[in-house]
Amino acid sequence: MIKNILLISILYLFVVSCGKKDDPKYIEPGKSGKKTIILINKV
Amino acid sequence: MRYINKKLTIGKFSVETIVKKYGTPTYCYSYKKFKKNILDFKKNFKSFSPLICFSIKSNTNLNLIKEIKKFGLGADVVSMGELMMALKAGINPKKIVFSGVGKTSNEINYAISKDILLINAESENEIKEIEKIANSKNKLIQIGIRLNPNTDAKTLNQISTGKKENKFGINEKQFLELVKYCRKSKNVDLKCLSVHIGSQILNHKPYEKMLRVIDKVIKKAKYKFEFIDLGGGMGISYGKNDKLLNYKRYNIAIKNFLKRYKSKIIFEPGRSIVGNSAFLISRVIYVKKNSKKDFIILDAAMNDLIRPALYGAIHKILPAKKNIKKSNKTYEFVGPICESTDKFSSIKNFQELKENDLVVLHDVGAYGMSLSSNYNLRLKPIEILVKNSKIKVIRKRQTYKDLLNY
Repeated sequence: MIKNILLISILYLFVVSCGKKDDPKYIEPGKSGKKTIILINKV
Repeated sequence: MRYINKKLTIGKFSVETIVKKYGTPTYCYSYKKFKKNILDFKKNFKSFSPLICFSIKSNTNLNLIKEIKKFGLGADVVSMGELMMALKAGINPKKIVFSGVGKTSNEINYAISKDILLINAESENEIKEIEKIANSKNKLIQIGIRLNPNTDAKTLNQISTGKKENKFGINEKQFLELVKYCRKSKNVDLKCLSVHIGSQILNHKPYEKMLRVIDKVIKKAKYKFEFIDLGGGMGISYGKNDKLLNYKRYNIAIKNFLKRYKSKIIFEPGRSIVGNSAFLISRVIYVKKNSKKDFIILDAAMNDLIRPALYGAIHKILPAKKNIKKSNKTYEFVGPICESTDKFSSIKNFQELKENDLVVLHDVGAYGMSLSSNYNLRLKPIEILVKNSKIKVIRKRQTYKDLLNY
């Protein structure tokens, strides 16, 4: 029983960590290059 | 929206099936999602039953507004066109508030003729114009005055509206003078104090501060407002790092406020109702290889969805069909428009894409189609609604005939 729980936990950690590493990563705009400031407001 | 057998699916329809019938680019709305948003919104504030006026500017689709109306919502409009659209959708005029800093005489005239709930004025001259028109018609018109609470909404500068340097509303001193003025007027009936501090707000604290300012101003004005219009601005999550607005805390702050004032609360939500209810489906036209990054050239562009170019907004992008092969290059998702800002996102570790693959941009229901244009003389996309087990076209794809016919 304990052996099974341990095995499941290890597998879970493995899947989660792999998932995180491979997740698509969005690069914030304006971090490199010029930033355009457009003055528009919404009411 | 979820993957079933590696295929991205909306309701019971896979993106591939939708595209086979309707092509790309396509705005696809989920009825289930915005229904849930409306019910959640009502539940969050059920203790004081506010009047919820859907912000038409966030989505101007007639059929969508008709659906929203069925849940008993009113409308917040900012132009004669929006007012006409709200009325066409069958929204009760007594649930319509007209906001905006520059209402023309023509617009005020029209609003008065339609007997709407409130015209929320934003300057002394506007009040005088409403008074003049009302006098010529021998009418008494219900108005609100928009206070600028000088409150930083802690949102993007481009969508912050409640600071003293913003053009919206009037300051406390002017507000108090205008309350006095309205007391004596025979043609305007001051019913409402209105505020709106900005858009995409994810922190309840600016709202709490805003309520403290309103409290102070009402005490000074010694005036009983039948309505307090708190505007909208409730933000949504566009990415997994966004913290969600704490509605409980905002609700508590309003309930405390209402212990002192017996007013009806008005809200003007837009994004929180429709924002996460729509997707923009697009096809990869070309994959343009480059040394450092590859450009994924889509058939959707900034004319279809301008938020990334206008505000630096990031919309999540997912492939319509999953595969396990990741690209080792950064992908820059761009449109075909002749502007460098025609770019949606740069993403590392995206799955490998090839020409004709389909991708889906998320959370485009608010300020997506309503801010779309014909720039580069591109056609506006089709809008469809997935409702129960059916797909309904809620706006046809524009044709070249439509485009060249004006």
